[in-house]
Amino acid sequence: MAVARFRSVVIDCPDPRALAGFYAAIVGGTPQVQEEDWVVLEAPGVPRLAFNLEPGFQPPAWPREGGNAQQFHLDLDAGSTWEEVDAAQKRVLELGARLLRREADPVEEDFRVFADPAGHPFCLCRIDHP
Amino acid sequence: MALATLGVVVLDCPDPGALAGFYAEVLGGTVEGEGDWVDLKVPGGPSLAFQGSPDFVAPRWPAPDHSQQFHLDLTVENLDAAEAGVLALGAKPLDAEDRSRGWRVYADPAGHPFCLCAC
Repeated sequence: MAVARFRSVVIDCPDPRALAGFYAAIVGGTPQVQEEDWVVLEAPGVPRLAFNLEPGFQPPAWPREGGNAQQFHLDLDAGSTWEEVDAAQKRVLELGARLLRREADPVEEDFRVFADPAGHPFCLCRIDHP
Repeated sequence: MALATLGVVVLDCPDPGALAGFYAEVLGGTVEGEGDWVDLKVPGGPSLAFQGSPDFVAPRWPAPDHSQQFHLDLTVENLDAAEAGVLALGAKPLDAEDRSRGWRVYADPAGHPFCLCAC
C-alpha cells in the first residue's frame, strides 16, 4: 500500500500572484490567493500547482557549463505540430518567458526549453496524439 | 483556451531508476523505462519523470539563499505512520520535529525536499 497521496507541485518564487497568473495563462484555471504567500492554481486535467513566496529567492542557475541540474521542471504539451509549438512559444514570450534553448534537430528533439518569469526552466513539447 | 496542457513533472537526479523506485513505493504506480529517463504514472496524480543529470548537486535547503525551487506536497492520513514509511525508504528529515503542525519536511534520497501533509 502506498504511504501517501499526491497533493501539489509547489513552486517557490518571489511573487506568487504573478507566477500563478503566468501559468494560468498557459494551462488554464484561476489562481486562488489562499494566503499572501500561497497561491493555488487548479485547472482541469492538470495537477494541483501551488506558488510559495520565498523571500530572497534566487532563480535556478541553468543552463550552466558542467551539467548543473534543473532539479524540477514542468513539461507542457503544446500540441502535435511545430506550428502549434510556434504559436505557444509566441504567447509564452509575450507572457514574460525567455527562450533558453531551441531544438537542435526537430526530428531528434521534440521540445524547446524556456525560463518562466521567475527563472524556472519549463519545456514546450511537441507530443504526438494518436 | 489554454496554450498547453501539463504533461509531466520532471525531477533531475543522479539515478533515475532508484529515485523512481522511491516515489513508486511512497505513492504507488508503475515504473516504466530505464537509463536516463524513467516514468512513473502516479494513481490519481500527475505523471512524474526522473531524468539523469550528470554532476547533479542536491538542493541546499534550508538556507536563506537557497530556495527549494520546486517540491511535492503529499497527503497522508497519519503523519507518524507515513514518516516511518518514508524514512525506511531512505528519506531524511529536514524539518520534522514540530509535532503540533499538520506537515513535516523531508528530503528524498536524491535530496529534493518534499512534505507530508495531514491538512
